Amino acid sequence: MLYLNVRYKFAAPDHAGPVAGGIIAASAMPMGQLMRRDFRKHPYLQHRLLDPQLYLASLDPNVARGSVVNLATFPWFARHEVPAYDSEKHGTLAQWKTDNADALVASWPRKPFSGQAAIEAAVRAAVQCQLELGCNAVILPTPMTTVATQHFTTETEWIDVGLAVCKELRVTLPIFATVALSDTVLRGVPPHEHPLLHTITNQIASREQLAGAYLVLEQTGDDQYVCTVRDSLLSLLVVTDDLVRGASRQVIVNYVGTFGAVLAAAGASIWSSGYYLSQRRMKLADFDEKMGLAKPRYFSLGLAGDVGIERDLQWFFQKGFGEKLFTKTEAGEVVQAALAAGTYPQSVPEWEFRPNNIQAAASHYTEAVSRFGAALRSLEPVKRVELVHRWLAGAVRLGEALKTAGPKSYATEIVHQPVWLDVFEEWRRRADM
Amino acid sequence: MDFGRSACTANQFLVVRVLISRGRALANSGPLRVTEVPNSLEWNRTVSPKNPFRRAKVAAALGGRYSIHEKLRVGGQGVVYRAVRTVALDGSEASDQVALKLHTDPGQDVRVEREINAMERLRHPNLANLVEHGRVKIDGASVRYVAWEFIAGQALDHKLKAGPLPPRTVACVGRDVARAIEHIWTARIVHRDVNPKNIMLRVGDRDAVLIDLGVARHLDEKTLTAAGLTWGTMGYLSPEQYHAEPQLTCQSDVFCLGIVLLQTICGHHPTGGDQAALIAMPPRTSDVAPNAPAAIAELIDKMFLPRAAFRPAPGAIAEKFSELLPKL
Repeated sequence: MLYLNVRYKFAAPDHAGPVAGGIIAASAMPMGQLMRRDFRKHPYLQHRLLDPQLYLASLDPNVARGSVVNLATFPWFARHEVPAYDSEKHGTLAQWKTDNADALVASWPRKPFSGQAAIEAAVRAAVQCQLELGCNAVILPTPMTTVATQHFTTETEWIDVGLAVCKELRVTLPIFATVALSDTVLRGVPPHEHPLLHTITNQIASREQLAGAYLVLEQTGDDQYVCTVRDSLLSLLVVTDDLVRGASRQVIVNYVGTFGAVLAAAGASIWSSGYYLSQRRMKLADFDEKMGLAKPRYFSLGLAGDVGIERDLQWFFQKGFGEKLFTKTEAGEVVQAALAAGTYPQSVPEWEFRPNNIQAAASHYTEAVSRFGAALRSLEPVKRVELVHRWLAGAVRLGEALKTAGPKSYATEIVHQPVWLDVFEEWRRRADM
Repeated sequence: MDFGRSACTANQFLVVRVLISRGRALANSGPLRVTEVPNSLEWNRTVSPKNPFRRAKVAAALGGRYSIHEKLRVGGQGVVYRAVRTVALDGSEASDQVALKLHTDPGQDVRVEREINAMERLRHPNLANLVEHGRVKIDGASVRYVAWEFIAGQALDHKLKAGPLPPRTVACVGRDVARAIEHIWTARIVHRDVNPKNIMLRVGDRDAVLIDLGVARHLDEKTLTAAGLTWGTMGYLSPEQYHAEPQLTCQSDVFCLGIVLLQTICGHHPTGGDQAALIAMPPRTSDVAPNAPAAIAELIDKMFLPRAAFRPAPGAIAEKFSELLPKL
């Protein structure tokens, strides 16, 4: 089922469809503010998780100052004397940040805490924060697994301390261990033979207190919204399948966009996404403060990707791809009708290609993927696999046809589909699914 | 370490250090380079021509708190006596039988220390529990002594010399050793050397005890083994051990227990001790022990799954064998 990656604004897009819950990123806002937010106004957040995001501990405040200021307010990242933000005492959040940003940045260690006592204090704070927020499960923080730490030793240390803390706090919620993988450790090694993946599933499976893993992939290379690295994608499928079918655990997967639906077919119980780039992928460079304003893109479920609306959408419609390209949603209906009437884009301001005009596009994306997620959820595992296979095969055919028609821009995503289908078919073959 | 085995048996498989070029192992590009060296922990391998200590001297060195009885084992690392402790460390009266081990090999100090540290944290009916330890001077030499709970019975390898054991005994061994593995894993310790020599069957064959955490590894501890090397007994290594993967879990011990159980039910090692064959094509219980009860065979086969995460957890194994026992 689909969860939304929650940003500073909690509100889901209009007509979001059957969104099952939300994952709040620690980087979204300072802890003091998060703890005072009212979740009741947002029904989908009845089911909520907090991603402690310890995998961001290496962020460089010189280029990612805003995110570092937010993250440093959470005690599992940094220690300082800065008071928690309180609107009654500190005025606006902007003012509080201006007053305290330097101190928060100065406290930022740029690496996770080490040593038993420091880790325990950090994990305790992360667990208590999630309990106070009323989360439906606890996500234990662990550092990012990189080429320098690919024995998963530090990660298991954090997990074990986390389990001990949960036991002491008598946590009865399901407990998930963060498994944050930099794709640099996955490239170039066949996933089915990758010792790191064996180690990860082995370590998770051998801890009975763990309900499963919270899986995050850091994309280091891709400039696109979607991951196109075969080894990374197949690794996610292998880990998910090993944990779900092999070890009877659950997997929550985040920041892989609609590849989350593919992982749902392999058994992931929750996949989380959102319209914005930062909701669809996790890339440390995205936290640098150089991101421009988002522009609208048309998500096509049939294509399993976005279509550029500045030049491509109308062009492909005129080439006769409308029916295959369109995904029926409340917010998307108007653009479809306008194209049919030959009045796009003049008559549809909410789909006009200009910065920050993304409300309709976000609503369309969310409804499309949440309905697909709900449809998958309603199926038996075997049927789910078959549906995803048909979906990917169709996306490949459509992508090839669009390539032949000649897209007018690079905004339309027509590269990843064969990779996704290829890894899915390999996974099916090896998993005998 | 010894726990009162009633007979010295020659082990059919050497405890070895497996030297693996990690890169080659990962690439699966050829046979592993294996160097077999006698394990100094293996008491019955290297029998010292002469017992270095007289019982009277040992008793005197221990302040008369122990009456020292027969010698159970002598090896390159030291000597083991059956002893009766008459006075506990706190001065109170005692009367417990122990396996008293005197370590004479200072080269093994770190490993002995590790085992003691591990066992101090653990007490369990299916483990040989630590009674006390310390250092004494004997003939001017500083000798570490470790007193372990004495297990009256026989080592499984010795029992197997007479042939396969009945399914009920197999289930007892499976249940008890799985419980022991589960317990040591709560302290994040992996035994790494579960084999018939390290399993004692108490008199009556209804209870099994896992012994010898000499090569056990706590996840927090720095490895005593160079990168690319692994510890264990050839013929009883899990795929993860065999490939010298650095982060083992209890699931590795589960694999080893599977081999032991299969050997117990069919009376011989399922691949004749051939470790490579064991990894390349794990045996099926129905092939080597066609008469084994189906439920036991199914459980053992799952313990052999190449992917550690797919194997049943030790707690689940213990539970399953407990369920099966009344029906056997």
